[in-house]
Amino acid sequence: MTFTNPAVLWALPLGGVPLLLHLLSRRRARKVEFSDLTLLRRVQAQALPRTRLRQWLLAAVRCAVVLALIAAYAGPVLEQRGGGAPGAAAGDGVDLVLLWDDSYSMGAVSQGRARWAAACAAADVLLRSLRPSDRVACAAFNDRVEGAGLDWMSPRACQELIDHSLPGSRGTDYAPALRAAYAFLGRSRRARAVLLLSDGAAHGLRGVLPPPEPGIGLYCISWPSPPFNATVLSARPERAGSSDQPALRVALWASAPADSSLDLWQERTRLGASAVALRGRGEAVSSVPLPAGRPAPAPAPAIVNASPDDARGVGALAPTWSGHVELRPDALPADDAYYYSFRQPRRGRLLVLYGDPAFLRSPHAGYFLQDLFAGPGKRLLEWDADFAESGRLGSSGVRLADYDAVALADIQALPAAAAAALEAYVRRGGGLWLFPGSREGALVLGGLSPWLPVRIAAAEPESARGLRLEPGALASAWRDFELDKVALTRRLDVTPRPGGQVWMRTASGAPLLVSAVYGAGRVAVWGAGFDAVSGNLPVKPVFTALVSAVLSLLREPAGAIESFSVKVGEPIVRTWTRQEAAPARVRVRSPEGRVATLWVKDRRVEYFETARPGLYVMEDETGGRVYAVNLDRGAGESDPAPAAFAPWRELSVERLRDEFWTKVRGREARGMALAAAIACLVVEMLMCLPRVFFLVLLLAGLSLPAAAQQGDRFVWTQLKLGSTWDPYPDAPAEVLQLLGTVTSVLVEPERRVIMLKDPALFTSPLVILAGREAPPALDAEDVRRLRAYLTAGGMLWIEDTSGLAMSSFDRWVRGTLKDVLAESELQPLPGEHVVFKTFFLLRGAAGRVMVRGTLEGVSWGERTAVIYSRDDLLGAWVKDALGRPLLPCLPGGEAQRHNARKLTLDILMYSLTGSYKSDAVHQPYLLQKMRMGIP
Amino acid sequence: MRYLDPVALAKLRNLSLNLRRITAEGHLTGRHRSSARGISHEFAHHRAYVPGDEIKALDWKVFARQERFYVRQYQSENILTGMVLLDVSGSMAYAAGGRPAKWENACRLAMAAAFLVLAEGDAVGLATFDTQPREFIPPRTSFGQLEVLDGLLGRSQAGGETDLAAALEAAAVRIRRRSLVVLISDLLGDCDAILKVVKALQARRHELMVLQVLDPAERDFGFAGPTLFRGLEDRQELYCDASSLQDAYRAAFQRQQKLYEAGFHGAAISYMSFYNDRPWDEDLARFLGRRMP
Repeated sequence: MTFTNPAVLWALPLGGVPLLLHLLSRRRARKVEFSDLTLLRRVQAQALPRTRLRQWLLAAVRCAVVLALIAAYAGPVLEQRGGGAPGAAAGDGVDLVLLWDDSYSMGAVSQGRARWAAACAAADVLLRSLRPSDRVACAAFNDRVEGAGLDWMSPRACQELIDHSLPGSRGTDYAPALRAAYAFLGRSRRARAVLLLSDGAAHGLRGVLPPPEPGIGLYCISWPSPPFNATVLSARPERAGSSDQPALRVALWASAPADSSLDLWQERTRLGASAVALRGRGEAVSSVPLPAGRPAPAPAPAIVNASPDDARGVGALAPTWSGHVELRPDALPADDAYYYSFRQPRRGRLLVLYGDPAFLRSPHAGYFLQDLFAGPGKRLLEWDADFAESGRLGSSGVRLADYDAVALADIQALPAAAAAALEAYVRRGGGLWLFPGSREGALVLGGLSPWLPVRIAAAEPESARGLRLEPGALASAWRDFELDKVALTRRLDVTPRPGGQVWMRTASGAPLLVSAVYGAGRVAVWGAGFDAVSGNLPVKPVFTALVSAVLSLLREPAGAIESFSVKVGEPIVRTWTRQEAAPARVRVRSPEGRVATLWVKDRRVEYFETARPGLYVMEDETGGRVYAVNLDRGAGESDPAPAAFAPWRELSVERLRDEFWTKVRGREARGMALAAAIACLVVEMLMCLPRVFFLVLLLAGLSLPAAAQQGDRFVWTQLKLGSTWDPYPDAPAEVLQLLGTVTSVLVEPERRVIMLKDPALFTSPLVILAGREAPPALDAEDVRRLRAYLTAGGMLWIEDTSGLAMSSFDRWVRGTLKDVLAESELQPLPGEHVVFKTFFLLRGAAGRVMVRGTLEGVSWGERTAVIYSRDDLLGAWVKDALGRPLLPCLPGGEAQRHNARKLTLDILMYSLTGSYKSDAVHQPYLLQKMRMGIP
Repeated sequence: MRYLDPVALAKLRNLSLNLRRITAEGHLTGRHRSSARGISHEFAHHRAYVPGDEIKALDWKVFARQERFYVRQYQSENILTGMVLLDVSGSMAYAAGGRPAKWENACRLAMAAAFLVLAEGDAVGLATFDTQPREFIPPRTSFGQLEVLDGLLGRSQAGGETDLAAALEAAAVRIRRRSLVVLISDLLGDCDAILKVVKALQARRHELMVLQVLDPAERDFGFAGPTLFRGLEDRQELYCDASSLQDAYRAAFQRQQKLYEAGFHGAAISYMSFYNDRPWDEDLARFLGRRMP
């Protein structure tokens, strides 16, 4: 602990003043004469140790008050344990390294403000609070340290650097930044601190952090609860079933479950939106179908010596798609869009020309081939096939140039014109596949025969089962098929010509599959039929593989989807193969619209200015290609969750300056000292003020909500009904005085007067109603409340003080009780009723006059809820000013008065104790008390 | 009279000591039944004649029926002797809060007790004591005795130390016959010793009434802060922090009062505390009312 004003500490000896005053006060004791000191001496002897302890405690507390006040004026500062700033509180300067995070996650909007802006504002305030003796160095970082490195600079320069920078597109990694900061501060011997102006998210802890340096405090901004953020992790093209229209497989991530929508953009056109359900901290996948792609310009002819018309057919160029998908805006807008650009090669197209009209029906080969090229979802081969009779060749409906391969099936005679067209087709790059049918007869191929790779003779029966691969064929592709179980019943006698390559033979060694190159195309001949008559091949699984293998001999398989996508910061590289004509220069148009011209060197060009995500178009004379540049989602920047176990101390962004200096330089304890002084003062007051003061306060507090409560004291509660409700005002005091004297009941000296609508009615166990004239009739609410009171446990004692055999009050009582408790009648109480022995044992009723000579009551359950006396019990209590009975008791005289008093107390005790006297549960206790000699 | 004004006398006329049930001893004929047989109109019983009995006492009607001599005996009726024992120690001079001293209250109570005894037709005397018996006025039955007692109390002053136990023992020696003893004191001192002596008086078949005269300050102990107490009896001083002792003192005082109540209740001795802040006559009326059977 240090002090900002240590000179005040010289006043610490003043802390002993209370002690001095305490000692001096002994001489200033008040002198009082007292009657007898015997009891006081005894009490003091017993309480002396405690008294002395209290006195010394009191003196100590008073000293503590003075000391705490002096300490508060001295300005105590508590240094933080491990704060890394020894000496900072004493006035030495602090070496501060400020590292601001310019990764794109700092662009997240939290509470209406970008984190980056909030961090810059907080840093601004902090830098302004630096003392002249403090030094500061700053640098931006993301997944690397930007700039030339750390060096001391003025706070103003540091502030300008921060103000002129913006969040970039890179990820976050704290490790290199911290390593650089520790290395830089390692040379300092002053108080050192590293402050990260970052979001403190867990995604920045990818790298291995350097071990914490002793004496260097590491701090980072802490933010309020992480905002909701969703991102498109990837948008990969995929083939959608069997059609040529691809789809985007979009992977989505969100920090919390939510419903959102995904917009699909192609180029600058919004094509539509689809609803997506985002999973909390999990990946959701959505498939977005794409419309027809844009045909790519043909960079170079793929067919040698082909006319432009031909180029459209065999080897046509694949269409391209480019655009982006976008989620609804959220906390981090930068990662809501994902750009795509790809090219999907077209499927192969096969034209099956058949000669037999029944070719497409079972058991002919067409029937089985149709199954292989059936509609979407059932297609077994990546080819589209059209079936046409051979006679349609040359008509306007069938154009060979539209197909990659032509299959001649079950042809017995081919016209010369058709043969010529096929020859031209193959020579320009097409594929021709020839296989026989099940019909008998010679095969007349006309113009085809000279350039076919085989000579075909008459059909021959085949008896051996199985097929045999020729060396050179890919044996592994056929491993899972039972080639030896293929049975052919007949086949053509095929003899390979020079140039023809045999791929497969029968078990007997006869060539079955022969192919050769002709011109730019290829020709394949299968020597057996695919119908069920010629063998069991079409019903074997190997049939599909065989057809696929034949087609692959005729045309190279369609290539995979080619995606043109790079990450932000990575260069766009394009190379031209030898078969392609490389341009001399290309132009690159960035998303911002800037155009850069690049010279092609060694058939290669590179473009490095990919700092922003978007679509970059690279154009040359022949056309263009679009590149999608996206943020690096693998860095996890989209996850705003803070690090669970961060190596730094967190500082609130709203109070960055105060918390930072509190951590570094220590916490001012002036408030604590003042609080301690106040606490000691309160303790002193508690020890000095009499306990009754606090008791009164407590009781006052308790009495506010429960003003009607009387605690454990009996309160004479009297109903104010009618004009004669209080015939004997002094009687209650007399009754209560005797009740408190002869019984152990605690009584409240003041009586309580209530109305039936008074809430205190329900806190009074006994209510007395007296009168000599009939009160006004009760309204329905009063009747309801009185009934509720009596049925809930209350007791009503009605006293007719008229002393008349017939009175209006008596009539009113009987009528009212019928309304209140209609279920029970007013009946005389028998002599053995417990009310006559509740406290005094009485033989019967008594009173000032003997009008009725007994008590009446209304029973409710096991108790008597209403006691009605007509003998003027209260009149027996009235006295004159000299203490003599005011009213004579007739006819019994003073003995009757005595009994009336006893009966009054019995009624009161009955209201408090109920039937306990008849239960006699107290007898064992009393007997035990008597045996122990307790009075 | 100094301690009984006409208003007090009028109030006292409504009160009664109700002493009829007390059996008296002595030679003077009075209203109280005596433990001895003697001359009166109240027949007691017959006794067989023995030589020496007066002939006039023979019941001839019984002899006529039974032919045996029987003597009629009558219940003797004597007056009751009341003694007021008044504590004149220094503690009785204590006064606080502008209230009259306890001594004033005690004198009025003594005079009231004397009046009530005389009103019953009995004799009353007065004895004062502190550490030992001081003044002694023998019992007389005339109302002129009130003037004598008032004069003595007017001349007396509370002061000096007290030894209630020793003084009561000495006073008990002077009260030989069975009497009504009214002890008026503050009973401040050794509680057990006082109880023991009072019970010893009770054992001599005296009818005892103990009237404890106190000041509310002795009960409430409303002192605060460092205080130097000076005793009115022994003149010794005691320094203490009254605030810290308040609760303990009150608890000890209540405990002492409970002990007195229990002790006197167990010995069937009428007892009540009279505080200066309340009208003494009302308290006395309540006390006598409680004694009513």
